[in-house]
Amino acid sequence: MTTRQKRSEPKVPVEDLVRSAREAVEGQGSVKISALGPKGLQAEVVGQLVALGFEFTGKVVRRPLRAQILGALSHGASVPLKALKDHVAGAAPKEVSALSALLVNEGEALLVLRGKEPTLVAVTATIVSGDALRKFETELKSLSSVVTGARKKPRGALLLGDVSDALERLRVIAVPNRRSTSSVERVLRAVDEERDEQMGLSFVPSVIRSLHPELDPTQAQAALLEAAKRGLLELRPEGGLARLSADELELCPPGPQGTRLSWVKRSDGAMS
Amino acid sequence: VSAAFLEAIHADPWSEDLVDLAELNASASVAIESNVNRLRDLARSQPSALRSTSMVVLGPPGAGKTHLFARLRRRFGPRAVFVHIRPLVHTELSLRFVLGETVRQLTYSTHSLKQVDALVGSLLAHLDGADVSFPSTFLSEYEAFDEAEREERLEQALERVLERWQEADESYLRRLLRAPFAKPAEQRALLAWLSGRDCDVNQLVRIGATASLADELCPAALKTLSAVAALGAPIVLVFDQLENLVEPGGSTGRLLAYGNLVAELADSMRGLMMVHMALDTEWSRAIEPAFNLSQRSRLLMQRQTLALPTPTQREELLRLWIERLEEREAPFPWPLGERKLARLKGEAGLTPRMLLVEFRTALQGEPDAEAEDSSVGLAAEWEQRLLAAHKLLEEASEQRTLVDAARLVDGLLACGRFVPSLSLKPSPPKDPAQLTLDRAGELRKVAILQHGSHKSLGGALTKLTTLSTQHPITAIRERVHELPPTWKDTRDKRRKLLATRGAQWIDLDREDAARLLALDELLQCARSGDVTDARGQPVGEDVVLTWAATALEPADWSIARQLTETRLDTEIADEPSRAEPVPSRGVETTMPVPSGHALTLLEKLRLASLDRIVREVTRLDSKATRSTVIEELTSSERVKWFGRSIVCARVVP
Repeated sequence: MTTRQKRSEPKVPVEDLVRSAREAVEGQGSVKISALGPKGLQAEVVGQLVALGFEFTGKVVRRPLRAQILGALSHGASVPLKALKDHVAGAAPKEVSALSALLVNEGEALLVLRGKEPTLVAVTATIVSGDALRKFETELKSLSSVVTGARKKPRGALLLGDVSDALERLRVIAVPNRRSTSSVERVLRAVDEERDEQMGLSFVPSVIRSLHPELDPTQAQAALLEAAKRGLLELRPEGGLARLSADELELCPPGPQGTRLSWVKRSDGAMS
Repeated sequence: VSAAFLEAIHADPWSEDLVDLAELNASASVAIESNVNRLRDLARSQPSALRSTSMVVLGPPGAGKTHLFARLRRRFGPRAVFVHIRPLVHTELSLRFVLGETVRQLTYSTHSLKQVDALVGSLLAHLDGADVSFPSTFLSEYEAFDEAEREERLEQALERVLERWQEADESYLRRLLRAPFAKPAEQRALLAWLSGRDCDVNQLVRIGATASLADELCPAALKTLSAVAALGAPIVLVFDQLENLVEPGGSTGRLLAYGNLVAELADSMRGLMMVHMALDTEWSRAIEPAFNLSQRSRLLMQRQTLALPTPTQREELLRLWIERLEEREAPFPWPLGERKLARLKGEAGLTPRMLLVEFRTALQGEPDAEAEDSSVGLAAEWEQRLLAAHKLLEEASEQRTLVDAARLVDGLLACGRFVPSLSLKPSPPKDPAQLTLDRAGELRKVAILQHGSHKSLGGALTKLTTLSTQHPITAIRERVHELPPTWKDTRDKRRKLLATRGAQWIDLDREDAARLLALDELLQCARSGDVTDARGQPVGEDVVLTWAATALEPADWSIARQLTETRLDTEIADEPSRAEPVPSRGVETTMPVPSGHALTLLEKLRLASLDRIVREVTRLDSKATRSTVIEELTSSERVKWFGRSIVCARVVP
């Protein structure tokens, strides 16, 4: 008679489980709790992952949903709201839709119509909105009435030059908004160019000087603050020992509690 | 929310009450955590390959550098030993100082467990193949053994460590292993010895040592400590506020000295995790450029720049703080309101400290007009630091040690910044006097004598007596550590020193010692942007300096007055020389002639404590001091001493 011996599983240190789980969550977006290791250690692993900034839904551990959505919109991507659930992992469609609405409300993402499809894009996307959209609509209506009038008349026609002028007017209407967005883009480029690779920080006066004469200091400061508001940049207060010259102080936007914002870095997002 | 929480605008590295948003700067925490874990793994699997590691953590004021220390300390619990060191600003950091601070902080607790217990407990557990997560349980098992068996097991553990690291200092390790099991007085003596401080004779006898740890043994001691700790609870050595090493005028001497120290630690220690914290802007502009390539390669093994909280993290932080309120008048976002919450979430450049200030303002209301005056807040900052300095001095007294002379030297140099006639400079490292006082072109050597044993103090006094042939000497020692009557040889050496030309002895009062320590701390924090007014707004270093000059009046402190009132050599030369060295001129300046009150009082009381006699006599005679009372009592044959503090009048037949 043979006795069946109970095979004891080799002990795996929790640190190793956390490391491999972290890699899996970062790679796949989410991992089921059952895949995190032996049952007795799952709670500990989940606890440590949550401490690292991951989210626990009860069934899965995932990269923060906010970071996943914003990640899906990076590099100029546009994602129809309907399809957004396919771009994230470990979240129910309702949750995805609620969070995307919140992101739009908080200015961290933009909602545009592509055709008839509501679509989410990154805040850096070039859009036509607000006053420009209203003017665009008015101009379009006026053009439409001219086109309709011409079409209804027997042998009706329009001069190609007039049509081109009308289209140019439509394009120009979008320019102010386009310009404000591109200031942010220019600022982002300048921040990248002026970055100290070791520190990951750019000196604000250098960024603003590099933008001259494209943007004057006031416009550049406004663009920096706008980019910070959109979560694209992190402006940081000066902590040095009175090292800023009077000129440099002028170029730094005022910060909270009487500080000056003298350094800037690209935002890491929710997870770095 | 406790008052302490709201008042804690500046993070306390040793606070047990921590509100923490783990997600904020999680990458920095993870980086340090994985380094510590790697050191531990390597110490166990490949001890010969174990090296030290180093990381730089940077951020603006209030970004959470010190908070990161507190977070990791709590998160690791007994799995690591944390040491927080603010650098000496005016004098060079030495290995002895690092060792002293490391062992001193072993007595600090995390989750109610002393770090020394965590270190030794996890080491013993690992050597016995047990779980290192519960060092206190393991220590309890050892405590349950009878003394002989425990000693035997400790010896076995010692042998096992020496098998791994033959270069470990055996006597140091033996005393380290005994520390958690020793009775309080013996433990104090062991820790004093382990820290490299000067032990008095009783302490040495208690631990079976013949001398305190010599300077040349400190590197081996620190090496032993860091290597054995790595097996269970690796040591994380955090140097904070490094911007204080930046010198005006572009000199880089202090930074280079720091770079050399770190290079030495990185090269010669095993299993040490070093973290260097500084303001990001100062690091990039002044600190890093000062280091040479060799130093950079050892300091900058890794770098972490702390991020500021995102809008979501700001909201989460506010929610965490609000949850700590015992009474909430309304749901979130009370007490902020929607509009203020939106502003705080969107405002660029907001650090966690600024957010806490905003939260406090919302909770307590706008500060009154008085708070606009920065001097109100600065006075509170000063009081807080003075209190901490008194606590440190008390702690040293309880441990029967003296506060580190290097800190007092730093304090004196800080004091000198406010007193034009007190032109002090650090002396070269090998000089027996730490400072040089320049008075109208004449140089006087100033030594702070914080030695615990009569032998080392005697040695220092002899060296000073030799030095006195070149320069007049001022010797300073804490009054509470007056030389006991039993130190006859040392007292003779003091007499000899004081008999030299222009020599002076200053008894440093407790209050002055606390002020020096507090002033040094205040100036360091001012430079780091960690001094705030009553509204929580940071106050510039120049404002703090101006306030300290006018409000604290360091020139009127007793120590400053005594140092500035020393006579010039030319004045001394004009006086007729004295044949009798005792009492010397130096003694004359600070020690009035005994009044006779002490003996009269003792005869009346028959048996009394020295403290009582000092108290009563100084009440009767305003010129009397502790020193004069001791002089009077020791010079009489009718007085019998019991130890240092009890005296009795002999019965005369």
